[in-house]
Amino acid sequence: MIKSIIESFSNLFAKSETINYPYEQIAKFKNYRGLIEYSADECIFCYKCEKVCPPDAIVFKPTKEKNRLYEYNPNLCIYCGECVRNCPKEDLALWQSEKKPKII
Amino acid sequence: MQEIKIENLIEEITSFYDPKLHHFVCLNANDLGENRLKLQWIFTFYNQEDNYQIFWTICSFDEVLPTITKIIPSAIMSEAEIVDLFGVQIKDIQGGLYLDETSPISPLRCSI
Amino acid sequence: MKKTITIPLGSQHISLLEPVRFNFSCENEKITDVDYNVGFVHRGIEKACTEKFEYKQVGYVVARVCGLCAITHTMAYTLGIEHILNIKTNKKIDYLRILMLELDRIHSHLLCLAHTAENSGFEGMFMKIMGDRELVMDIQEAISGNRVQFDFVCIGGVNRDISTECEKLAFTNLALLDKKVDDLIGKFTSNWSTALKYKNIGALSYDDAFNFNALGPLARAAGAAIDVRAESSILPYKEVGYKMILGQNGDIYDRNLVRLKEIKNSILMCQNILSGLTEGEILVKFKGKPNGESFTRLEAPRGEIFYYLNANGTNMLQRVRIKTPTFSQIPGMVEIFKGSDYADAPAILASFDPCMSCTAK
Repeated sequence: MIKSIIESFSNLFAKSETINYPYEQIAKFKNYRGLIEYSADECIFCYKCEKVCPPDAIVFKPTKEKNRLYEYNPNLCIYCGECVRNCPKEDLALWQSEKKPKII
Repeated sequence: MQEIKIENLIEEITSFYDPKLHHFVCLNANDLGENRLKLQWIFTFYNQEDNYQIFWTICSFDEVLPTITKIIPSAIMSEAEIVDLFGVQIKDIQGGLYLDETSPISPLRCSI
Repeated sequence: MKKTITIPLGSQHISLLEPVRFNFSCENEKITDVDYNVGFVHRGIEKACTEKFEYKQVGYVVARVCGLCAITHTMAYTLGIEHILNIKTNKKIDYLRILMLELDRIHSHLLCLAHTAENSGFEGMFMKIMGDRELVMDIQEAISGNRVQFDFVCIGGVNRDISTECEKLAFTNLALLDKKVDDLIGKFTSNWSTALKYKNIGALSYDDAFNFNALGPLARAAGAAIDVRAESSILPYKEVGYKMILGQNGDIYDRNLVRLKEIKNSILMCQNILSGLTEGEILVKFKGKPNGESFTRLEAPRGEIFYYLNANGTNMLQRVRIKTPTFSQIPGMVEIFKGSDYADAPAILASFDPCMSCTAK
């Protein structure tokens, strides 16, 4: 009883558990799994990322030129990072950033 | 692993199963094609490491299978599930656990 | 004249987290018969695993069976496929896997306790426990890079190593949580609305626990020593300080206490793992395609989870069978409902910690 009274009084002066969001930013952890980014100059077109992607978020579309066109759908992506781990030129051709997808 | 005949199922399981010693995990069905269905009743032993006792049999989709819910009440869920997903008939067990009228019929059967 | 009236609970109800429907036949206040419908969220994941996804991708698919025990599903699948492919993992991988499993157990149990408190009308306690739960979720987020879908385990190892910063965060948060759980144990043993009024409500007897194949905290609260962690050598639980926790009466009060004590035990295990973690590889390379079958059991937060895998030497699996804890406990739950008051039904249901997305998969 006494303990709970002390607790209720101390709660009056305790720091808020929630964050005042738009004015205060939520702390992000390092290495957050965000958008997959791609560089066409470094890509060797082995299509390994397309094969391993569970939701088919990465698709190489056939074009008139020799190399196919990389297409990435951030709304299908589950951000597991399997494509990056399977990429032979990890961090150069394909890497995982900490960015969020754009809200349409 | 122990192969049993579907007619002897109730006797085999009655003589084997003791609620204090054995744990019934689930009834598993696997469609092997060509109207053959493999059924596995999987048991484990309490307080023993990685010890499985599996009764298995191969039956056809036309047979009416016996139910073991009188011996093991919790088997009713596994049985209702395979009635729904494989379209087999089990005595006294009705479907409709997962699927309703508009759902695909017996979706896990590979022969259809 | 008909003596009973039928009162439904669900499929949408203020005390339910997930869609499940119980039809209670009541005689005055007492429940005499229960009819259930659990298949509202059937998504055909077993079918998708065998027809749409290759065996390397299935681990990410089965993680989506359930949000709370995502890591357990992936882990059970991975251990099964590793058994077929004959992959031997090293100690470090095993320890990292147990660490994530136990963190998952802590936050799942905390959610259940919060929900029990909410159902007893103690909204403030609900908020408080959910706030404490953030401590664990932060550790998981820091380790795996995502808050709910961890995608931490992969075939042959784990996807990420723990950095020293994560380790530091984990130690401080776990120590903080340990104190808060001690405080919660006090509240769940002496407070009227969360503890004392739940004595002898929704009780499962010791014999019925075995007869109905009860699992997890539901069985352990009744005094039945049923825990896959003690019966399986697939993960080295004994080395990290696992202890079986048992209750006596099997009522809501005991279930809450078993959960709280298990959280204490899990915190201890996590601390042991973090302080004893060595350097080493986090991924074992493997070759070949799976051929054969495997049976895997693992202790999820709610009880035993079982995976049956059958592979025929191609990239596609032939059969994936998922058996989840709530799925096989439904007949036991129905038995507990019979004979109790209708007014207690939401509280009893919350204390089961049912997971419908697991059940219907």
